[in-house]
Amino acid sequence: MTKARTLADNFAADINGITAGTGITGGGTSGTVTVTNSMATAIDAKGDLVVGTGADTFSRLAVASTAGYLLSVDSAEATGLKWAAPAGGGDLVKISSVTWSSASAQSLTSVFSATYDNYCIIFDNLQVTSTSNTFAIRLRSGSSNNTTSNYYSASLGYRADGTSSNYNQNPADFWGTSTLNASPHVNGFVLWVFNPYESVRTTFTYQTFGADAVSFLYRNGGGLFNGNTSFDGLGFFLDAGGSVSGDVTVYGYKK
Amino acid sequence: MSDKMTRPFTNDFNALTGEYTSREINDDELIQYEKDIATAEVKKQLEAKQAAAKAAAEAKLAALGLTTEDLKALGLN
Repeated sequence: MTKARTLADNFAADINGITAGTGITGGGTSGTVTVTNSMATAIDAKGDLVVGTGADTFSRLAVASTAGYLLSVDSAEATGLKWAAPAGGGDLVKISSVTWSSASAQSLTSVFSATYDNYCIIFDNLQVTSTSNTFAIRLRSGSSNNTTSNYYSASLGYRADGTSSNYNQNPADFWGTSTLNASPHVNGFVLWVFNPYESVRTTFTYQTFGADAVSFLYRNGGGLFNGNTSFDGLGFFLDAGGSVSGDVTVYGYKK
Repeated sequence: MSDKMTRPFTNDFNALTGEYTSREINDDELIQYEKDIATAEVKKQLEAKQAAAKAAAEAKLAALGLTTEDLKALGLN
C-alpha cells in the first residue's frame, strides 16, 4: 500500500507548511489547510469599510448611520477618516423652500437665525389677485408680525410705456414694495434682507417686474426698520387686500 | 368688524419644522387687516387726487399753448 504524502514528509521542492502572512489567518503543515482573509472577515455589515491604521494594520470603519454623510479626512481618528455631514455647497446656502397656496397673508417663520447675517429670498411664479395693491412686507418675531411704525422704504420704478413711478413711505407699519401683475401673469421678485436676526437695524432691497394700473413696471427699492430688534421671519400681504400665491425659496449667505 | 365666516386666510411656513399651515386670521389679525385696507384706500384716494390735479394743471398749460417741456426749459419744473 502506498503511504499518502503529507506536507510534513518534506520532499525536496515540496511545500512543507503554510504560514499566515499579514492580513491572513490560519495555515498548517498537514491535512486540509484553511487560510482566511482577515480583511474580509473584518466586514460585519453592509457599507463597512476596511481602512488602514498604520503599516500592515487595518480596522473596520462602519458606514455612517446618517444618509448623505460623506467620508472625510480627520487625523484625530484612528483610521484617519470619519463620516461627516457635507459642507454647504458654496457660500449661498439654501435654507428652505415652500409653495404658497393662495391666501390673504403668508408668513415665513424661523427662517432667520444666528447662522447667517444676510439672506436672499426668491419669489417665483408669484401671483396676486389685484394689480393695483402693493406687495407689503412685515418683519416677524415668533408667531407675530411687527406692526410698529418703524418701516421706511423708497423705490424707483420705470414702466413699459416709458413713464416713471417712484414711491416712498416714511414711516409706515410695513415695507411697501411694488404693485404686481395680476393673474394670468406671474411675477418675479428677488428680496435681500440684511441682519434681520441681529439686534441691529434691519435693511432690505428688492427688484421686481410687475405692473400697475398704467403699464408693466420694473421696480427696485429698499428700506430699513428703524429699531434694534431681532427677527426670525417675515410676513407678506397685499396692502389693500387680495390673495398671494407662489414658489418661495430662502437662501442664507455664509458669514 | 367682518363676520367670522368671511374671514380671510393666513398661511404660515415654519422653516424649522417644514410645516405649512393654513387658518383663518384671528381677532387681532382681523383688526390689523381692516386697518391696512383702510390705510391703503386713503393712500389711493390721495394719489388719485394728485393725479387729477396734475391732469388739470396740464390742461391749463395746454390752454395757454404750453407744455411741461416748456416749463422745464424755463427751469420751473
